[in-house]
Amino acid sequence: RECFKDAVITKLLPRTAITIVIQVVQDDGAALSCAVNAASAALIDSGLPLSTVVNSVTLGALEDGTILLDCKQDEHEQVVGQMTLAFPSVKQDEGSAPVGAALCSTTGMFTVEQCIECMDLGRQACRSLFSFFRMTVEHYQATSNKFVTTAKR
Amino acid sequence: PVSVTVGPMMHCQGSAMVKLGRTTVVAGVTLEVMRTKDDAPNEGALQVNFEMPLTCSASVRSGPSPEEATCTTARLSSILTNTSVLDRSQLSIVPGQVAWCAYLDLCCLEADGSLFDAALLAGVAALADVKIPSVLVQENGQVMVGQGGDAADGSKSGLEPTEDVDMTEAEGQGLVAGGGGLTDIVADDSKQKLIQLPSKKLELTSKPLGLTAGICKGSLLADPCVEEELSMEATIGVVLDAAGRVMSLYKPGGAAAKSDATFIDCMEMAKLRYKECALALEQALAPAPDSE
Repeated sequence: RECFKDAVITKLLPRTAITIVIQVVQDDGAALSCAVNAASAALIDSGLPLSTVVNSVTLGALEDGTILLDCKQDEHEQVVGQMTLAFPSVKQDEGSAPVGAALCSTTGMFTVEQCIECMDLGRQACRSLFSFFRMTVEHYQATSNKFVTTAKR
Repeated sequence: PVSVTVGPMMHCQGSAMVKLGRTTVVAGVTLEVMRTKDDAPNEGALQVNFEMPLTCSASVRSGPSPEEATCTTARLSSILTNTSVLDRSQLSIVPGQVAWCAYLDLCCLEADGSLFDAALLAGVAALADVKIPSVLVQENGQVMVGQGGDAADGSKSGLEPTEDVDMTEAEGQGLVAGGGGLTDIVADDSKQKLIQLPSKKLELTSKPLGLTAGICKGSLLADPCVEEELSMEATIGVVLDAAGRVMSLYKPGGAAAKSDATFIDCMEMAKLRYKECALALEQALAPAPDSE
């Protein structure tokens, strides 16, 4: 809820309660990330005014320091630390500092350097996720007559 | 200002009370004997429960426990059950059969911001204070728990008394501490050797301590009080262990951080906080007399 509080422009919707219900159908690792992405997609589909689209990935750190992006359940068990990150989709001007995470939740152990590396990788991954979202939404918009408000950047 | 008091409660095996500014949390650890689980036959268990009664804050209403309590319980549980904090094989009595289940109950007496930090410190202090009582597993499978400490009482069924085991009549009726009806819990075959374990202190491999910081208009504010927390755009919670490794980095949404530098600053601040809290914790634990 905290994550989406800032994404939806609630000022335009007075006296409105927005309920997001998430049902986990199958958990192959990274359920939280999937839930955040699903909720984002649902918000886009709902046509509510959004200031940003939040995308999420989960990264795992192995004991030797390798970072894995988007672990499956069996990789899940091998990692010493797991970090779920969500980034808002924000237009990146040249030369400005990259945007920080909107959501971050870890279990297990990390070193400080691994944290920063994870955030970098997470940011890039979320950017590609967002492009995928955009592509999908545009495809649906083209193929159906439903009016969809694209997320404002 | 950090204050840690260890052992304020006499009936638990370990307890602590922590005041971080005005935020006050009391933690107690009780041990009960349980059957080991199949997937962890040589380990005991740790159950964490965090409560926020009505008295702790004006925003808590009667009814189901507030979200903050559930989130804090989940976070504490995931940090404290991490094997690098507590080696749960210390809680084993008879590997594969019985072990201790430690119930860590935390109660917030006053919530004035940074609730998680206080709760974590209290939990760690209480666990560090735990003295596992002496235990005797008899041939017939009964598990008898001693009071630990004072002179040994007589023996039962021809066992040799040791100075560590004290079985007073009240405790030693085949009942285990706190759980009546758990006699015969050890499903032994007839000729199992009886096992006698002396009382010992629980050792924590590492003591994780945390810092909560709030983000307001791009600046970080460490350890906010409750009024400050309400006006924050977002909060970041960092938990470090003694080696400076990050055990938990928790930012439950809210405004996106301006950049990664925010997180780095937070971690640096957490290191400073670690030193301060670790010192308070050491001072609180040090003078505790070894009552064996």
